This record gives sequence, structure tokens and C-alpha cells, in this order.
Amino acid sequence: MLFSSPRFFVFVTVLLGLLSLPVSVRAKKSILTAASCLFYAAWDYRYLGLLALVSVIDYVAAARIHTAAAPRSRRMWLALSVASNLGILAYFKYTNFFLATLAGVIGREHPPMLEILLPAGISFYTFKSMSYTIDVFRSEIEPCASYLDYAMFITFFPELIAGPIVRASVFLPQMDRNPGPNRSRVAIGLSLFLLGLAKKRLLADRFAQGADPIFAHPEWFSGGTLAAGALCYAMQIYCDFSGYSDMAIGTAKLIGYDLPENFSAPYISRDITEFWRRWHITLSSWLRDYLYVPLGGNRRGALRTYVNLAATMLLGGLWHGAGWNFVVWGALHGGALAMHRFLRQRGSTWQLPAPVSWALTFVFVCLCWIPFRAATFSTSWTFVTRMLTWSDGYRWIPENTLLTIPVALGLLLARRLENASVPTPRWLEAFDAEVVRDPVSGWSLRLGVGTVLGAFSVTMLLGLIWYFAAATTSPFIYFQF
Amino acid sequence: MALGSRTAGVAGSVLGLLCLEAAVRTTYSVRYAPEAGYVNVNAPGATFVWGREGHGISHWEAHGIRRGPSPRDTAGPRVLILGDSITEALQVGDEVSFVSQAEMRLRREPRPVVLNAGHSTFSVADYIFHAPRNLETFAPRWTVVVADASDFTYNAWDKTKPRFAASPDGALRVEYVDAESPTERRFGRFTPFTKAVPYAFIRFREFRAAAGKEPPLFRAGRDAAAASSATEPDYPIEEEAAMLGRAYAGRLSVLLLPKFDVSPPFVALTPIEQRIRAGLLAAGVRVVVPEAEFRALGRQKKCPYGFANLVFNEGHLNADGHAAVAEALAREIDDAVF
Repeated sequence: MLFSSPRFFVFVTVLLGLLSLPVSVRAKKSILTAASCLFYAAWDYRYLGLLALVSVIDYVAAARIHTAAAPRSRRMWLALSVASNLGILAYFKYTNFFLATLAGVIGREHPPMLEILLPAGISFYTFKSMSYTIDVFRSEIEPCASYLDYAMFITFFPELIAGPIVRASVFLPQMDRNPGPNRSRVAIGLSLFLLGLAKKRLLADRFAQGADPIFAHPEWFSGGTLAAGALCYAMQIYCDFSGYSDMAIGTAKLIGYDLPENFSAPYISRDITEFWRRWHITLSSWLRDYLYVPLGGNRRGALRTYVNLAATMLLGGLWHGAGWNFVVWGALHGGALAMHRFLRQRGSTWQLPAPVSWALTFVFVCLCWIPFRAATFSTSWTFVTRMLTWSDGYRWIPENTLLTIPVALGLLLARRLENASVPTPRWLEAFDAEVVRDPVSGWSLRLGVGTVLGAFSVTMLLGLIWYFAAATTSPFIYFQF
Repeated sequence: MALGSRTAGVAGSVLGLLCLEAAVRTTYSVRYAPEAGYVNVNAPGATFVWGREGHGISHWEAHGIRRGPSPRDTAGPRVLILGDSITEALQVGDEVSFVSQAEMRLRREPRPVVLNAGHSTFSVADYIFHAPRNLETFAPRWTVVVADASDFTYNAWDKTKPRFAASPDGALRVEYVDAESPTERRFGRFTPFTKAVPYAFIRFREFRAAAGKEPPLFRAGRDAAAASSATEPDYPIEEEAAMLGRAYAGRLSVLLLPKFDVSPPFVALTPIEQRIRAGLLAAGVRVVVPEAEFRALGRQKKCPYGFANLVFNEGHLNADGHAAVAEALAREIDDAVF
């Protein structure tokens, strides 16, 4: 069920109505859990059992970890949890990738492929569930007192399919809340949802119209067209994923819960390290805390640090998809992170001017999106070589490339507002808008219609979506992971 | 005096709606008028602004004819160009449309007057049904129908508009169906005053159609619109071609628009297109296909279809495509009329 579809609007409206009923908190949690299961089953009811299996294994494992006295027993239950989650993920996501790779190694032309349907959200909910048992093992959190609370955490539909990856330490403390809409949360939630919807329908889907034909057949197009296509995709994936995250966070706020921030104006980063502090924040922090740090982090010397960085990003790339192009993408970013760390530690005497370092970072990130998006490794090679050699071909520069301008302006505004010490600028107050901050979601922009400019802006935003959004919406990019 | 928040909200919303009206007019600004004995036509004297695909401004005259190049020698012989939205060409300006360009290329004296009577959604069934009206209203010396394969196949058998049908005795006939669009029916009277209201309804229908293509609930992997396993019907192309030729008393050419392939040889007629060409020739109808012109475009790495604000190599003819088709059309008019 896409967030931008009429079905979803009906679903959320009915749910909010049910959560407004004068019933107990426990009853509301049951309603919410049931609604989340219905949301997941709307994709395919057959895989609801898999979600239940993961939740039961980890709920029991965490409870056993907490009560077990012997360290060996605690480690055994942790191993069971991690192995079951990774095993399920490996089977559904990587079986055919391993088979194809093995066949390539032994020289077999037609490897046996299994018909395996990738369950929606499996990459996200397995990571979420693993973080729960690991945090219990580390004694950072207490296990859930009731299975209902844990089930609600695991199935929470706004972030079930494509994140943000919410940790138990962030979500479980909110379990005491009485779910349901209230005036202030509705204002912020609807604002976030509307802004996310605009990013998705007005921007991401329009950028997709430009990028899709170019990435489908890079051999047709000129070098300039390919460069425009790469830019379109860079904008598409940002608007698509951050738009989805905004809608997820906004929906959660409508219901009464806070989800963590997932994007923080990543495309104005001045170096690759900063980029990964701003892009898909919940994934990068998960990888840092559950992979990079256990590998040793930066505590075992410089060389080991670089290896740990590269390995973490390589696996991070593989997490996105079962394909060598994703491994290449991860390796490129891992290499860049290691290189950046090396240069910083050498106390580099040459400092690039900020615009230059921004440009280098942005161009590097855009180039890395090419193997991420291309259907195959050979397609990405064709794309890059034809673009960099400025090959001749059909010149078709999508007009939607111009939408990069409003994206850039939005990023600059976000950069201005993210500073916690900056109150709402006076000019934003004229739009009846307010910067709202909370410790979990970071900063959000609450829109209002109490001033002429405010009502004008909201009317224009709704109208632009209605009149100028692409008629057909493409699925959210991260739904495929 | 500061406005109360409710008043401010209303004022801001009204301002927003007015700005949206202005924004919509850069994309969708059309107006229709009824024509006795015919369908609704683009209103005489209207200026259309079209930004949904391409960016075109078009001007319309009486009887749904698009304004041609000027100066024009009205004493010249008339050549009537019939076609659908590709001929109507809202996506490009008047002087860019292939009909205007073809007229400008003709070097005869007096120069023929080439009339663009393109009408969106029309197919071969419409051209046959409205032939008496076309011949009486315009008295052309020659008629050219611009069509593609769909105009002889599924478009011409669409149950929602004038279409071919089989009589009880098996003979082919054209059935008339009132094809006034739901938008025109509901909002036609508003279009002189607002474009945002009818366009909002068009967008509603588009979103509803897109929602119908969403995956089915509860069972992933199945397409909402399951690919039809039924084979393509065997359309009576030859009979359609014969009817078309008779409708225009043999003074007819068909300009058949092929698909464009970005790889050499760029144009290759499909079996159905070959059958259409053969059927028309057998019916005594002249046929011209801009193969050479499209191939020349392909060698220059230009594509005749598609616009930068929509999809590559899909949709309507762009400026390069119009120039290529104009060349073929001018040559055909020269050969056929003179």
C-alpha cells in the first residue's frame, strides 16, 4: 500500500478514527498492531507469518538473555536471534545471488535459480528486530514486558516497509503514551506528510520520468544526456526516500509516536563523512553501532580502521540489494570514507574551499548512484564510460532536471533551520509556520493557514500536487530493499 | 488593521486558487464549441496553451481548422488534412506543425491552402463517418488522412466513440456514438471562465485510472491489469481501407506514421502496417510513409517522437518529427494534387 495512494489515505483515516475512541491504551495498541498487520498483509498475506516468526524468536530470545545468568547462555540466545534473522534475510534476499555467483565461478552458464519472492520490508524489520536483542544483551534496554508491546514495535506500519530503522531504545520508551491524534500532533504530522507527499509526487516521480529511459538504455544517449540522467536519479532517490521518510514520520506523529530523523540535507555535505551523517541516518548509525564498532571501530590502529570502514560500507551496499553493482557502490563509499579519514588524520595542510569540497562530494555521490541504479554491472559501465567520454548519441535533456533548483533551495533552507540554536526565522512566522524540535525526530516544519501567506502556501502546495504531479506514481525506491 | 486568522486563511486560500488558475493556464488552456452536424470543435478564435506535453500555443479558426501560415493565397486549391491529436499538434506552435510547414514548402502557383482539421481521438471510422460533412464544408481538391496502425485497429473499434461494426449480414459499417468527453459534458460551460475546474476533473480521472493499476491487495506479484492472453483480433483492414477510399471518392492519400526505433534501420514497418499499406493501395488510395525522413533523423541521432517534459520516443511528434513529416506531406501533395 503506497503512502501516496488513495487506499492509504482511507486506511489512515479509519485508523485515526478508531484510535480516537474512548477505549483503553491496551485496546488502542491492539488496534494499532492489528492495523499494522493488515497493512503488511495488504502487500501479501502469506508473509505475515514470517514477520510473526521473527518477532516471536526475538521476543523469546531477548527474554531469555535478560533472565539467563550464565554469559554463555546469554551469548547462545543472542546467536540464535542474530543467526535466525540473518538466515531468513540471506535465504530470501541472497540465495539466487549466491547461486549465480557460484555458477559464474565454476563456469556454469545457466545457474539454477529458485523462485523466491522477496518479502516486503525484510531488510528493515530484521535489522530492527536484531537491534532489540543486541541492546538487551548489552543491557542498554530492558526487554518488553508484554508481547503486545513488542509486536506493536515490530509491526509499526509507518516504518515497517522502508524505515526509518527504529531502535527499540527509541520506540519502547514511548509505549506508555496514549496513541491517537491530538491537535498539535495532527498539525505537525499533516505538515510533514504533505511535504513528503510533495517531494514524492511533485519531485521524485518527475525526476523518474527523466532518469528511467536514460538508465534503461544508456547506449542510446549522448554524454550530456547521461549526465542529466545521473543528476535526475540523484535527485529522484533523495526526494523519493526522504519524502517517504517524511510521510512515515508524519504518519507516526498523527498516531502519537515519534520516529527518528532519517535525512538531514545530505546533498550539501562538504565531505563524504558528513554525507553519511546526513544520508539514511538510521541505517548508517545501525551499521556503525552493530557492525563497525564490534569490528573494532577506530580502536585498533589506522589500517584496521580503514578496513573496518570499507567492510562496513561493503556490507551496507550488499544490504541494499543482491547484486555486484550494490557491492561496487558500497566499496566506492567505503573507500572514500577511508581516504577521507586518512587525509584528516594526516592533518592535511591543504584545505579546499567549501564550494570546491562540496562540489567534489556531490559529484562523487552522483557518480556512485550510477551503479546503484543501473540494472546490471555492464549497464553501469556503459553509462559511466559514455558519460565521461562525452559520447555522441540522442540528446534528450529532461526538462525535469530544472526541478533541481527547488530541491537545492529546500536543502539550503533545511541547513539553516537544522541548527538547534536557530529559532523560527521571522519570515517563516509570516507564513504561520514554525520550526518544531523534539529529541527523537529532530526538527520539523509545522505549516499553518492562519496567515494570508500561510494559507496561500498550503493551497498552492496542495494544488501543485493535484495539477502537476505525475499521473502515475512509481513505487518507492527503498521498497525494493 | 491585522486580519483575523480565519479571514487571513480564506484570503490566502483565494489568492492561492487564483495563482493556481494562472499556473494551470500555462499547461491546459482550451475551449470548445459545438459545430452543427459534427462534434465539438476547438472554438473559433480560441488560443490554446498546452504544456502537458511539449509547449505549444495554437490558434483556431472556424470549423475546427488550425490557423495556417500567412500570408496565404485563399484562391489556391484546398487540401484537407485529417488526423487525430498528432495532426492537431497542440504540443507545438502553429508554424511548427507539419501541416503549416508542408504548405510553406509548396512552390506551386497559386499555392495550395492546406487545412489542418486534426481532431484528438479520431480514427479512420470518424473520417469515414464525417466524410460528407468534410467534403461539403471544405470542398477539397484532395484529402490526406494522417494515421498510424492504431487508427485502423483498436482505436477504430473503440466502443466509446464512432467505430466500425459488423452488420448482421457481415458487412462492415460505421456506427455513430456520441463521444462527448465527460469533462466537456460536466464542465464545458465553465471553460470560458476557468481552466482549473475542468482540469481538476481531468486530473481526478487520471488519478483514478492510475489507482486502478495498483497491485491487487493481499497477493503480491500479480499485475492489477493482467496481461490479456487473448490474441489480437483480426481486423478487416482491407475492407476499412476500401470504405475510406470510397468515402473520399478516390481523391485521397494516407500518410502512415510508423513507430521509430532508436537503433538502425530506425523504421521497419510491422506486419500490420504492411497490411494497412497493401490494403490501401489495393483500394486505390495513395500511401506515403515518411521512412526516409525518419531514417535521416535517426542518422542525426534525433528522435521524431517525445518531448523533454514527458517521455523519450513516446507520445506525439516533436519539432524534428514535424519537420520530417512535413517533407513527406509536401512531396505527396505536390505529386497527388498536381
